[in-house]
Order: sequence, then C-alpha cells, then structure tokens
Amino acid sequence: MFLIPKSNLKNFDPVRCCFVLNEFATAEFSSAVEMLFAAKNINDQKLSEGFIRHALDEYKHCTIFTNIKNKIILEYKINKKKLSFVPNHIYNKGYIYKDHFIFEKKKINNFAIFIGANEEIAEKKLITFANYLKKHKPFAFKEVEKILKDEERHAKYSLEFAKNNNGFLSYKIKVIRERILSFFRHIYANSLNKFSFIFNPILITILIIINLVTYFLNLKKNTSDDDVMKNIEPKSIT
Amino acid sequence: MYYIGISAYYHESSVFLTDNEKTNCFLKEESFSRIKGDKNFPKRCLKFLIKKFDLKNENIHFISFYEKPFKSWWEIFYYSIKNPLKNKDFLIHHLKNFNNGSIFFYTDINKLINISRNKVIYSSHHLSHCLYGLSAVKNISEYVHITCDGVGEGETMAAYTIDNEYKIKKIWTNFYPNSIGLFYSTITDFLGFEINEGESKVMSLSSFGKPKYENQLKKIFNINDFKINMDYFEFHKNLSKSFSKKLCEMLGEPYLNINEETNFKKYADIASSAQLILEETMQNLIKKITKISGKKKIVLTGGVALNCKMIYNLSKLDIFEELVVPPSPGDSGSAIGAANFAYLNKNKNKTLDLNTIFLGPKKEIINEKKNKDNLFLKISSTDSFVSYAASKLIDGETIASYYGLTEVGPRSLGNTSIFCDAKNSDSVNNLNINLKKREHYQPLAPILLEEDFEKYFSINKNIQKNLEWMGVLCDANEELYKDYSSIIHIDGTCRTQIIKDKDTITYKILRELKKKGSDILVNTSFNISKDPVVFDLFDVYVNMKRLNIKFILMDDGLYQTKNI
Repeated sequence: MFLIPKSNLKNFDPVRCCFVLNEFATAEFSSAVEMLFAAKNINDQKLSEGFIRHALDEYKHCTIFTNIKNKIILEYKINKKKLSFVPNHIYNKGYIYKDHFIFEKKKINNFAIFIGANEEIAEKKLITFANYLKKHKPFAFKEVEKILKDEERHAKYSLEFAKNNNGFLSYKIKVIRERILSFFRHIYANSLNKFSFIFNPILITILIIINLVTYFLNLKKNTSDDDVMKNIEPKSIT
Repeated sequence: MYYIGISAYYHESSVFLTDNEKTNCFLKEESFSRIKGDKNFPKRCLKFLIKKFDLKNENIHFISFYEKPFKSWWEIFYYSIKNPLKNKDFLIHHLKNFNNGSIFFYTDINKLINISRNKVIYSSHHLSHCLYGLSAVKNISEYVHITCDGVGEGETMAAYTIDNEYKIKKIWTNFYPNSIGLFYSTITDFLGFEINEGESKVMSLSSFGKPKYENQLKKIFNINDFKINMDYFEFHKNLSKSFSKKLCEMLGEPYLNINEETNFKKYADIASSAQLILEETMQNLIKKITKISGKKKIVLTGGVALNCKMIYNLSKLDIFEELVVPPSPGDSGSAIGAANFAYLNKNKNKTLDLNTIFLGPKKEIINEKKNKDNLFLKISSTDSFVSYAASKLIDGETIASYYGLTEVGPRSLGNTSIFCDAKNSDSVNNLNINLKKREHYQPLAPILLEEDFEKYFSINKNIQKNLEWMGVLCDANEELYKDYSSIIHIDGTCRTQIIKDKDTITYKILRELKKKGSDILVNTSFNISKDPVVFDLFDVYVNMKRLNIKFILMDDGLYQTKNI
C-alpha cells in the first residue's frame, strides 16, 4: 500500500524514512487488530491461541517501528505532527475495511492463505527496507531483523496450515490468486486519493451553483425556543 | 421494549440501549473494532445488542439518533460555501462525504435490523447533551443546563431550563464558527497534538506555564461576546490544519519538538494562555446564563466540560451554587441523551431513571466462561483474594481490574483500571512512563475512600459531586505531600476519585490497603496509549501481556495470565 525507499539510495532521507516506518507501524497495528478479532471468533481453542500470539507479535512490531521512528525524529529534529500514528486514520488509509474484518468474509483455510501470502509480501518489502536501514541506521536494522524473523514464521505457519487443509492444486491456485489480489489491492490503495481530483472540476461547478443559490437564502437562526419538545420534529433529519 | 440512542459519524461512536427497568447497556464501537476513537456507524455494537437482546422491530420503541443529520452537515457547509473557491478543499471533502455520513443513518440501521421508518427518530445535538445531563442530578428544575462543544448543528453553546413537567426551554444559543471548543482544539493542533485526543494534554501542560500570551489570544477570541476572529483560523477551509499563518505570526512556529526545554516552556505558556481564555469565557458564559435563567445550579455538558481544570478554577469564583458535569459529557455520552429523547418523546413528562454511572454491560454478558478458563489462572479464590491483592499492591505490584459493570465515559472508574500503590513513587512512575507511555507532564489520578478524602484533599462544595467520576481537580493538602507526592500535579492539584459504594471490589481493596498502611491507589484506565480501554477477556489477556502486568482482579478472584 505504500512505497518503500530503495536500498541503493545514496543519501539518507529521515523524513521519508519516518514516513515509511509510520506506515509499517500502521500496517502492523491493523494486522494485530485483525488477528485479535480472529482469535475472538474462532471456535478452535488452539487456533485462537495462535491468533493471540500472532496479534501480540504484530503489536510488538508496531512498537518497534514506532520507537525507531521516534529516535530518528529526535535525532534529526523532524516535525512529527504529520508522522504521528492516529488509529482512526487506519480506515482512510485502507488498511482495514470500515464495515468488516477479513476474518468475517473468509473461511479459515482461505484466511490462512491470505495471511501467509500477505506476510510473504510484507517480508519482501521489509527486506528491501531493512537493507536501506542497514546502510544508514544500523541500530534500526538490528530491530527490524527481529521482525523479519517473526514475519517469516507467521508466513510459514499460516501456509503450512493452509497446505494441510487444502488439496495440493487447490492450495497452489489459492496462493497465486491471493498474490494477484494483493497486488491489485495495493494498486487500488495507492491510487485511492491520487485520481479523485478528476472529479474536482465537476464538484467545483456544483459548489459554485450552490453558492449562487445560497446567496438568495435568508436562513434565520433562533437563539431561543419556548418549548423545544413541542417544536422539534422527531422524524425529520433537518 | 427497548429505547436505543446512537451517537456516530463524527466522534467516537456509541450506542445506549435501555428498557428503563433492569436493562442498561452502553457500548462504544471502539471496544469492538479496537480502533481508538472509531467514529464509523456502530455496526459491531448493534450486532452485539441484536444478538444479546434479540432485538427486532417488535421489541423496540424507538431508535434515536443524537442529532439532525442534514442540519449538522449543512450548517458547516453553509458557512464555508460563502467563499467556494477559497474554501474549496474543505467543501469538496464535505461534499464527497455526504453519502458516508449520518444522512443515511436509516439505511445503515436497516442493513442490520428491519425496523419501521416511524421508529427511527432524530434528537438535536445540544438537546441530546442536555438530556444526558439529566441523569446526573435530581430536582432538574433547579438547574440550568449549559452545553458547550466544538460545533453541533451549527450551534456551539446553548442553555436550557426544564420544569417539573419536562417542558424544555432553550434560553440562549451561540452559533458556529464562534466556538470556544474549536478555539481550544486549534491551539491543541498548533502545539502538535491530535485534535479530539490532545486537549487533555494541553490542559495538563498549561499548569507548567504562565499565561504570557493572554492579551494576544484575547484578540482572537472575545471572552465577553464569545466571538471568534476567523483571520486566525482555517478549520472552515483547511483539512490538515485548523490555524492560519496569522496565528503563526502571533505565536511563532507550530509543531515544535516539545521535548526540548525552550520549546516546552514556550508551549506551556501558550497552553496556559489558552486555558485562561477558556476559563474566562466559561466564567462569562455562566454569569450570563445564570442571569437569564435566574438559576444558580448548573449542569454542564459538551466536550468542553471534560476540562476538569476549568471546572476547578470556576468553582473558586463563587458564580454558582453547584456545577455538575456528568461522567461522559462529550458526544459519546449523547447516545444516552438520544435514548432519553426517545423516552421523553414517548412518555411526554417522564425521562429515563438512570441512577448509576456504570451503564455499560456486565462482564458476564460480554464474555463466555470458557474464555476465562482458557486464558487465565485463578491464584486466589477465597474471601481473602482482595486482601492478597492489597498485599501485592503494597509490595509494589501493578494490578489490573476487570469486574462489575463497565464505565461510561473516557475515564475508568475502577472497574476496568490499572492500580498501583500511590505511596510507592517507583510504581507510580513506572506505571505512568513505562507502561502507559504517557507524557511526563500528565499526572496520574488518585482513588480513595470517601471517608479519607478530607484528610488529603480540599475541594469547594459546589463541585464536590463530580468526585465520584473523577470529573474535577481538587487541592492537595499538606498530608498528601508527606507520602503521596508522586501523584500531585505541579500546580498542587489532583484529579481525585472517591469511592462510596461499600459493595464494590474497589471499595474493598481500598479498605484492605488502608489496613496495610496506604490510603490511596493510583487509578488509570486499562489500556495502552492509542488503544481503547479493554472490553472483553481477550483484550484483557493481550493488554496484560503487552503491559507486562502479572495480576488481574476479577469478580470472583485474583487471576494471572496463562502461558499459551
């Protein structure tokens, strides 16, 4: 869903690096929330415990990324306002769906494939980013290495579970399909806000028309009301 | 038959269900989604309620939304549309959000529950605040009800009187953009904190500074006629920041690193000045409203009422006989006000009888028993478990609590809290900085038995009622400095909570603690920064692991987490 700085960048860009760290932290937090939901809603106790462990790992990763980000912010005296982690922004950034968790829409086998395939993709992105950090911020690289090990384990467990509960061909097809879907999901998420400006001329025209109409409106506001319950229309939205 | 009130789409979404007999259930969407401040339509709360109470068209009187959706959308739009090109970013965003907002509330409800259109009703924003406030007092006709928040349906302040027949009069209103709430939020933004989250930090920070910017800030908000100078603000046109260049010219650079000493001092001075403007504005508002209404007792609601330092300072001015701020005065608590609106709409001269501040569900409604057995190990189940927990606290242990009914409002009042012995400064600092990751300038709150209050604290009688839900500050007495100095804020105040109810575990643990030599606990909400307060046992387990807390007090014993 976001761009990773290339490891062969010559100069260290602290703002860009903090931006990516914040995105990674947000993604890990979102994943933790998804796992926690799965833990609460699966009937199998062992699987539930596995999801709890997974959630704990993801929360831990979120903290690690945030701590690295905070250290860099302090070191380079970066304006942190736009780099702060705001939970509610998870929805707008597309990390979590507004109306459902992924676990609600997928059967457990498909959910395992979803986790496995996406953990692998995240791991690859993280390797690129880790190499970038290794070059410029060795202290951060050591921390990210720990996360990489966890991500590898998560992917392995999830895909092993899926392999054991799907036929060989079915498993392969589902993994490939998930990778393709993930690719398009990232493209979609990246383009969410980029192309919305296309509609701006139409919207500005609408605004100008509304402005003209409101010019003739004379809306009075009452500062008092002698009987509020009598004068309010409960079924009205205006 | 149930009444359901809903507050959603703008601030943290919440739902309140009641039959006005035995059943009350207040829920927040963030408890289910685990996203703090979740403002989406409370689908998960409603799903929970539908399942637990078998909700259907036949057993619902009304579902009431806390404000008029179109009016709320339109009033802000109407102000900004006067300059469509200058304000185009804000307006386009507002226009695009038309179909994501509360205007389609009925459609959103109907996706979950097939309910008749005539059972879905809409209260009014400030009326919902006012009707929630009724739950905190008796003899309502003796009070004037003041509401004050950022903005709701184009109004920013309002005052109501209610007679014994429940005839409600609105006696005064102030309109958008003249909002002391938005003024304070803008300063919050300027100082680098998140709006709707950082206002409490600004309040804490203000105690470290002096109001050096008082005169400048008085030019941008008139404390006498409550008018704002929009040259300094951009909340009506800018989506990413709410102040203009002119404010930066006046106050200097925004978003500085507050951890640097010079910046900290400067920002504390700005916070202190903003706090003063807020307090003087509210002082003038109260004087005005008490004069119009002829009443000296006040119920204050709306987000601004969460500023407990303001309540504390107002109490010293002798401008009212009593001021009560209910536990959840912000928009979240308006779900209760909306349910009250539904009840009043049906019964005409009766309102809901809510005689407790714990309106959330019981823990056994939330959880299945097997989850407790799977995740936790009972280590002390006899009658002595409270005494055992008190010993642990005296030894410096931090203990979480998860029992009884869930609290309403942003503050945990003991039932979903984290405690440590307030005498033990190492425990207090560890809890504040290491576990909760709070800023060093944010103090923790003490909790103690009602009978011990006067030994350690002083408070004006006119705001005393709010102590039950940690709604005000009080002064620390000399006695408190002897052994409990780590809980005292730099200005010598504490946000204290008293416990009255002898049947609660919180009362019992404080009794046991007293026997062992300490009278006060530190009480902070059971969550990690940026996370909602725990809701079910899974959240409890995960948060105990994350916070490295060993023990948890539940209704039937002291527990530890199992290793899974």
